[in-house]
Amino acid sequence: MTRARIRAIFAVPVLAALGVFLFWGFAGVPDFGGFHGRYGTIINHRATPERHTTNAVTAVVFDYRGVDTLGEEFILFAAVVGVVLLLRKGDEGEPPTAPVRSEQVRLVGAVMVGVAFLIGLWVIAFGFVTPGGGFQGGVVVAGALLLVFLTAGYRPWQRLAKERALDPLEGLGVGSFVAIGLAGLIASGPFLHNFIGSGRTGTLASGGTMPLLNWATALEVAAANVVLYAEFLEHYVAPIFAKEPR
Amino acid sequence: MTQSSTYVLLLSIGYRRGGGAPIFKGTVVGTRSVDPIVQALTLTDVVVSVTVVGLILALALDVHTKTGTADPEKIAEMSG
Repeated sequence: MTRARIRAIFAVPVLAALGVFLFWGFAGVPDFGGFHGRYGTIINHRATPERHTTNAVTAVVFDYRGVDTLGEEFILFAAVVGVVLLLRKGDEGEPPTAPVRSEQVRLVGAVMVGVAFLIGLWVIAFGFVTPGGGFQGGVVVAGALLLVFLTAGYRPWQRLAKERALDPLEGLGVGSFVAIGLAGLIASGPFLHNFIGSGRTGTLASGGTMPLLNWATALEVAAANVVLYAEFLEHYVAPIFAKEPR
Repeated sequence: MTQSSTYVLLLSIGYRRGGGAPIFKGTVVGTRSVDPIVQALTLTDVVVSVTVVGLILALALDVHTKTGTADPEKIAEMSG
């Protein structure tokens, strides 16, 4: 018997059991819109009075369930370390120039990179007042930097995404998250305790440790994403540019 | 695909009929809002899954470059 056929014979009962459990689970889910959870309702009512932050989701991410966010950041860090280990060679040689030749694209890029970068910074900065936060804004900032490659060419991107600068920045992001958590441990009580005063609701000066954790996360997410793009571009796209006739 | 569908499932479990976003700038605390916890889980997960998919892609491309195929059946067993 071929290996594929053995696998198929084993797969059918397992998949059938999975199907039964899925069906049973879906049948027990409450109706769409009939959400009964108490934890969510409590947080909706208590987040603003307690922490003076108007965004309950960010309060959950950085304050009430900050430990989960720390774990997610470490997953991100480990994944990027894995990509770097796989793709980074020692001596790269001369990178290709590969400029973008269309003037219109360069003009649009010159405008859009600044705009996108500012939007990303805004999403990060106001993350705990209006929808947004370190994760979302970090990805937008990384996308704004990738726009440099798309609209200007490979050489400007190379000058921007220096590994020597990005690796310590990413480590700084994760490290400051842990450091703030340890500061909470030292100051009063549990790890990641929100020990700074809560400030005024609806302004940037609110939420206690939340803005600090927010920016640490944003730094880490942005640097990690840029490193990811840089490794892929350098390993798989730059050789294509190097082979093209100028 | 499975990951994205779990996000949709999580978010739809947290939906409350007639509820607004759990953002209270300009709205009174206590207005009917949807669950913020599943949203928090989903947003961190989306960003993290992008990098993990990048890692998987790097692995798959590396295997393809070195052995010419991405099918685990066809790759010869490791020697040594």
